[in-house]
Amino acid sequence: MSAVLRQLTLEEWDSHYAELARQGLREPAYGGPLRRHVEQEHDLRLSQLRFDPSPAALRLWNFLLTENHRLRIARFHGDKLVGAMKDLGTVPVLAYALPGVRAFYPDGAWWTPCLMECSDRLLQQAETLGIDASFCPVRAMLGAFENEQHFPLPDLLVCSAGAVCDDFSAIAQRLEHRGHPVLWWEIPRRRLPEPGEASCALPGGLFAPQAQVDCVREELERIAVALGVLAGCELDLPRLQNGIREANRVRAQLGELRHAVYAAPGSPLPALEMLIAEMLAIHFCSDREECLEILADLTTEARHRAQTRQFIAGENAARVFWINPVADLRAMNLLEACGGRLCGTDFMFTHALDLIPEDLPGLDALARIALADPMAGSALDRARRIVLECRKSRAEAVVVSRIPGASHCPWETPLIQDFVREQMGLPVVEVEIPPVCDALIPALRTRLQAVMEIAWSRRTI
Amino acid sequence: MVQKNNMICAGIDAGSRTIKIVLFDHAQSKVMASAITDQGVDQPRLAGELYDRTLRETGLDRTRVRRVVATGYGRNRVPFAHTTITEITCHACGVHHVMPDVRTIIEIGGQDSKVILIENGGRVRDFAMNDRCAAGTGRFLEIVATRMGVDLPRLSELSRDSRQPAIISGTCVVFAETEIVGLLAEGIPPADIAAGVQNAIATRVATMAGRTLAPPVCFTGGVALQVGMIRALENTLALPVRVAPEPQFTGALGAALLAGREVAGFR
Amino acid sequence: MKIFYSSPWVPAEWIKAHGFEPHGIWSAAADPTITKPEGVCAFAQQFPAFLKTFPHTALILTTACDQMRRAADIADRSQARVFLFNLPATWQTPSVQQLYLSEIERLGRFLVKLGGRAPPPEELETVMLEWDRRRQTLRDLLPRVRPRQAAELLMKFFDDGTVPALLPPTPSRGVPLALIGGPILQSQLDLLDRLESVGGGVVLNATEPGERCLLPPLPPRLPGQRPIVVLANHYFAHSIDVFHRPNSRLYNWLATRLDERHVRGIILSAHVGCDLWRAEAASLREAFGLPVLLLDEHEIRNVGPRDLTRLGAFVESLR
Repeated sequence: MSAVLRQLTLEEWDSHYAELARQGLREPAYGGPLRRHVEQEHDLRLSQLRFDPSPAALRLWNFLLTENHRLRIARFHGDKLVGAMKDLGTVPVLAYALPGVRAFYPDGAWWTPCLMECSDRLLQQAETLGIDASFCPVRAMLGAFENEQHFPLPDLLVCSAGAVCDDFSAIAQRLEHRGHPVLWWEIPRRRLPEPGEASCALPGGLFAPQAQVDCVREELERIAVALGVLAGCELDLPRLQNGIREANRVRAQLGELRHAVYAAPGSPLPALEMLIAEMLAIHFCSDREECLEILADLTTEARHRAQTRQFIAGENAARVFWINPVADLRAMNLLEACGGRLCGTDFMFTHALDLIPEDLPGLDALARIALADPMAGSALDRARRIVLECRKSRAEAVVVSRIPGASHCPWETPLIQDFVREQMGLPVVEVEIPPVCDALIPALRTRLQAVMEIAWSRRTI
Repeated sequence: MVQKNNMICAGIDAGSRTIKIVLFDHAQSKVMASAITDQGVDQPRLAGELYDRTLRETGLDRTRVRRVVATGYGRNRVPFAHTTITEITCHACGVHHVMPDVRTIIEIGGQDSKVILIENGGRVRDFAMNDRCAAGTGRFLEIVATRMGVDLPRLSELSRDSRQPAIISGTCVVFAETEIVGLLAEGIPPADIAAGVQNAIATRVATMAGRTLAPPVCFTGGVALQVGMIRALENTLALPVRVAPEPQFTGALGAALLAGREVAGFR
Repeated sequence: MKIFYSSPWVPAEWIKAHGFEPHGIWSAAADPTITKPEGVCAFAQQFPAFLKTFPHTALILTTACDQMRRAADIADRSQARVFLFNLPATWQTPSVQQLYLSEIERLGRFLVKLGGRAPPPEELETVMLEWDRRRQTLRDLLPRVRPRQAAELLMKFFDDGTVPALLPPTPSRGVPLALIGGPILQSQLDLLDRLESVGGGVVLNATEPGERCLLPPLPPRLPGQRPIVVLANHYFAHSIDVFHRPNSRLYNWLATRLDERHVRGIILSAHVGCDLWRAEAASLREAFGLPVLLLDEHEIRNVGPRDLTRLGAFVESLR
């Protein structure tokens, strides 16, 4: 007999925290009650969210919400900061291989308008800079660079170009026009090798011409040199191999967490915390070691709950495969509220979940990972992987979260929908989630509930 | 206290513009009554009044109703409903009841539009919705009718005389309204404008349906009462389009049918 | 067989040298009147079904933007007559220059598969020199004709490679304007006349296929240098576009010409759904200190009374 654990409101976490503290809760230096982020950082959205009640989740949230502070402290202590943009998982592996260097994604500021319920005015600031709501919410980072009130300005900005989405590319170019030099590097649009062309296997079961891998490897060499100059020491082979090994520890741990949660009969951890946990893979939230511990904690909690049959979403919840991250975190709570649970995900960085080959020269391995980016190839490649994952995870429905303003979504979504339907006959619903989706909750609820209803009705067949 | 051998169920479709009710007697498999009222700010009260009035006119009261299912935009604000089910499932059920061979349902309401794909047996296979933009909904027709100084039935008739439907290209109904003002100023016949608007809505729906649309196709929802829209859909889809009987009520009918299934222990 | 190409950075000479007739997409592309999913670029949206409209042809799309890449995803599913040319976004390194050359060679193999013939170097060089001569003729003609005529000449050249020998000079008039942006279709060239009617004259057409797509003269071939390398290097070095990262080459190119031609205002044309050009409006203002008017594609195609008022007001403000 399984028990359904209740997610807590922020108010409930206040009392729960007090109780945990009485019981001797041990926290890292960045720990504390969640409410302080509302009061001190103006993260108003926390009052609308529902949270997992575990200490592991508390640690995750505190880790996420203190990143800017952590970066400032790191700079104060002499660390160099690298702003990696767009590649979602590759450049940080290089950066963290060097002593005294941390990488983060300024794109991650896209959640700031949600967390601060637009009180940050970053989106308005972006609009005054000529980047309006027809562009994706990543435009918030423009405002963050202008007002310097969020993350510290990086010492080096690195951005991939080529097979990337237009709106992001436009925003990054605008950033450079505003006086922030960018080290651009090319990621070609991945294609299949032609007959007679030397072929290269990539993670995720993909293939690319060796020439493309070579091109990306040369680009990564260039970045490695630039990072070495920044760090004051060369990113040599031993450092690189060690960096890859360490990144793989995080990826492997995340893999265990995903399996523990998505394969369980009910969902032992909520969708919202899983979204955040997965995001940690791409740049370790600016602290690789701590990230590893947090993921390990969450995995332990998930396994314990699965064994003792305590679930956030019970065994009757519809198994949902979720595609693309959401601008408003509240949408992930809505999934469970409508009777669903995550059984698998593709948050646009599946290449950051795959292990980096350790039996290949480091940059070659990273080049293969970079080319395996779902955004670098065709939407059909992405759809194929999604179907594979849906089959493995016994998905009953698919939700495609459309990112407002993102150039790839209007094309990709119908193709993915059609392919999933053709291959598996699963119901697929598209939901568009803006940075604050409150006004759309009834409409979103209808879409999600309808797809759950279809999933449940198919169980009786 | 509801009598256990009574199988009268109610379906309430609380839409964005109107609230509809259907009373269905599952023992005799027939609709006992249906009614409609305008939506308003105090939806719980309006829904309750509609419910009681309909019951009264049928010689019934609340104790005679075994189960109530609410659907539609405002389904969570019908306090006397036992459960809520989305309008996607309810429309599918309602249309399947009256037209069991239908495989695609196009529902255009006041504020949204949907394409629902049905399997054998009436189960929903998949669906697509436009609930973010007024273009592609009845709201667009209302705006155009107002701008042209006619009512909706007249707008529908007008389009029949169109020789060359105007091209309405704006992706947003606000811009499209501006285009219509421009067209009127340039002397484009109202018939052509009316037909153009209907084509724009039909095209938007067709785009939403994509390649998954399968005949037979049924058109339901309030906008299905517009003959011009039926024509526009048929032309755009290049398929015959059948209109559900009493199309505004298919959602409420479906809700009442599903209420009966809940009583019987399955859905 | 007609081969349609969708970017001025795909060398038409290469297609011609393989025995095909290259045609720029801009003359053939349909009016973007089809209602499309929100967020889809009106220009790119027609490519998936393009070959149904033009059977027995082939289509070269490029990776210049995500929209076109995605259109190619869909077009590619349905037929084997689509080639997606990987145009590098960066331009600073030898490796991406090599990437560009490799893509031209790969295109050559595609053309051979379609029934073309790999040209011997001397034949390729002949075609290159001919195209170079035609570009020079165009460069000589353009300043002497009115903006609409200039745009037609460019459109014709990129359509089928032809250029008239001589045209009587017709003076340009009006407040000097620059028209900057992405693809302008044949059906949209009315805009240039409409601008003249409200007192503006486009002295710099930096759209596609506009003046920025016209390469400078070919350099002399060095001994031992293969013509294909000359071709690739020339295109690579002189491609001026918004998608480059950084797009400083575009700005440098514009700076020279805006100054030379005393441009007083910029009209930025962007298809609805095109992020790359739309995002440049503020940067153009900041870089050149000139007023910028942003026109959406449906406004370009169908300059109605409201848009004419906007254009007129813009021109009046520049006098």
